[in-house]
Amino acid sequence: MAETGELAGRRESALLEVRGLRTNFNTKHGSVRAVDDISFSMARGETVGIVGESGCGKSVTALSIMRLISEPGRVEGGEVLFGGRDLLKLSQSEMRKIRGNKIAMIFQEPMTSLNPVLTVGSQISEVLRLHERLNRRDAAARAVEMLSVVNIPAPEKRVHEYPHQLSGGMRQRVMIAMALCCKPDVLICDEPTTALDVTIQAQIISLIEDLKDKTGAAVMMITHDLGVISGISDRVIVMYSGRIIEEGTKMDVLTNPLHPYTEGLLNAIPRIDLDCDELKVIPGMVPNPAFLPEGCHFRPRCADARGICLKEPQPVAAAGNTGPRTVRCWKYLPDWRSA
Amino acid sequence: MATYILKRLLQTVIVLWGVSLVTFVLMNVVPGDPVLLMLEKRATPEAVERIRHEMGLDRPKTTQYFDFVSKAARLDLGRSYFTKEPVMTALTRRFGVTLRLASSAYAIALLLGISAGVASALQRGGAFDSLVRGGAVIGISAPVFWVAIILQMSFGLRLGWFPISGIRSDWSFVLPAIALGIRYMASISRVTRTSMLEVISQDYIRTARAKGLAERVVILKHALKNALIPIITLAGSELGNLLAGSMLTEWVFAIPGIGKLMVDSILMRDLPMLQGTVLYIAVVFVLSNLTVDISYAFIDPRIRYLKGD
Repeated sequence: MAETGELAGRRESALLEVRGLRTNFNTKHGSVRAVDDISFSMARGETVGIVGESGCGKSVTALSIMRLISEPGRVEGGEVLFGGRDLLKLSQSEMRKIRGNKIAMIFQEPMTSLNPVLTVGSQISEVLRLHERLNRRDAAARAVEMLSVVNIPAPEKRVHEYPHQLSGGMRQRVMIAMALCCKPDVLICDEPTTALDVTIQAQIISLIEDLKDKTGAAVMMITHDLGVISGISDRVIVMYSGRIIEEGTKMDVLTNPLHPYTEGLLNAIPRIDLDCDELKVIPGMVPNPAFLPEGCHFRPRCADARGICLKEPQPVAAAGNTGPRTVRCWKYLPDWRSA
Repeated sequence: MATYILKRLLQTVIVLWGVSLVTFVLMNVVPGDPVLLMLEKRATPEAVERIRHEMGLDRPKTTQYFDFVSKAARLDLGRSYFTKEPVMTALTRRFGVTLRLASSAYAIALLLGISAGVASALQRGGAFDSLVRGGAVIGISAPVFWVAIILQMSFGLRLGWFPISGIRSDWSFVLPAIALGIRYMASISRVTRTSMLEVISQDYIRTARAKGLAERVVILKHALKNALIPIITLAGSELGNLLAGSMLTEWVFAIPGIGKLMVDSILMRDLPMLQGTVLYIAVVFVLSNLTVDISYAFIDPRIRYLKGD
């Protein structure tokens, strides 16, 4: 993989580094590659946005890092380096000490991600009792404290309530409290605002931002919403059908997209300040992961595609205005002009 | 919560009143005059009239019904035509035996059924899963009297491990309890498996794993408690069945419980006794359903708040 000296330098100080991650799902059509050779890193205190359409492998990447992929899925290769160790090689019991403690995760569906038959207090204190070895009373007290940290009013009352008694936004706050109670180094947010109202979305995003600043955690923000990305991220990773196709600082990627797909995504955002009759769309559909096109996966939908795109493009470093960036497209490779 | 229980209790009273009415009507429409049955053909018409008057059977049906209800409310269900023993005394005595049999069968069914169901769900598609599912089909389809006879022949006669009839010791309950429990065990294991499979694919199970909880805690605390709700419905209705419907088992193993009492009363046309056993079965059913509903509320907070305060 082509890397600039600057990129390599940053990787050394990385808190979490993913190298060549591959996750497959065994289906009746054979082995389907949901995540294909993904590499990226996150530094302490950094927010990395992972953006892409449904089914592009964002969530599978997150679950692979947590080693929560269940049958018929399987992490087939790669490394997830965290604290000098490869998480993919840890035993189950070592991995359990990391989950919810060093690396925590917030899920998309606050309605179904909390256990309906346990009080929110017990679901929070459970984590504290497990990882911080607190006794029942201290853990309960900390649970109340955590609820007030995530701005839930009357926390001492709410702590005894069940998930069905809380609104969606409240439940997501509980999830955040649960994820942050052991002060994790990495917080993975898998579409935390998708299921919420727009006003609540903004509150949740600013809450995550705020708590990130307080705890110094690195945040991986998975979303299909470029608005969320522009609000919170330092860096952006764009995924398309299992691969990273572009990576760079938020400023670079959002103002000067290199990959035709990123460009299409940004053009598809309706703008109130421009007069247009029709919404712009990217023609075609996301390919079925069981039947991926040869070469570049975006080729069938790409206006710029040429014969060379039938071969697989490799990531290439490109010039960024505000930081290092890479793109995975033949347009930025020397062979393009001769193709 | 209290309102919920109170409401359910009130419903129970109404159901029991309905049951008493149906029982009374049924007993009055069955063919055969109880007095003639008691006295047989030798009695003079005067004697029949006298007895009929003594038993209050010449009064209007409504008076008889209210008399029956008010006595039943005071737990007086009359006396057996033949042994002259108060029906209530017989029921109480027999109930102890049935309770022992039913609770042993119930314990076997719940313990083995739930553990087999959970294990089979966790190893979905594996050898153990196939074994449990195959066993469950056999267990559900095999008629209880057939299972009972097979058990008597193999473990009683051939191996001589357990007594095959009567109740001489605790060992006498082993074969009947297995015979009675086996189909409940089978259906409980199936329901547990299905319910567990549904629950373990839920988002909150993934959340529990993401917290770093051990798989044992994820399954026993987070999954099983959610999976229990359909199991309790089934187990509750089966508790009623076990306490009421062990007629065949009790008959085959000659165990003097309620079921055998009922069969005997039918064969001898002992109407007060039969009426008593029918009423007993109805009460057992209603009460076990009530217990189930109340235990739901304890397990699932959503029901507690939905129907309750």
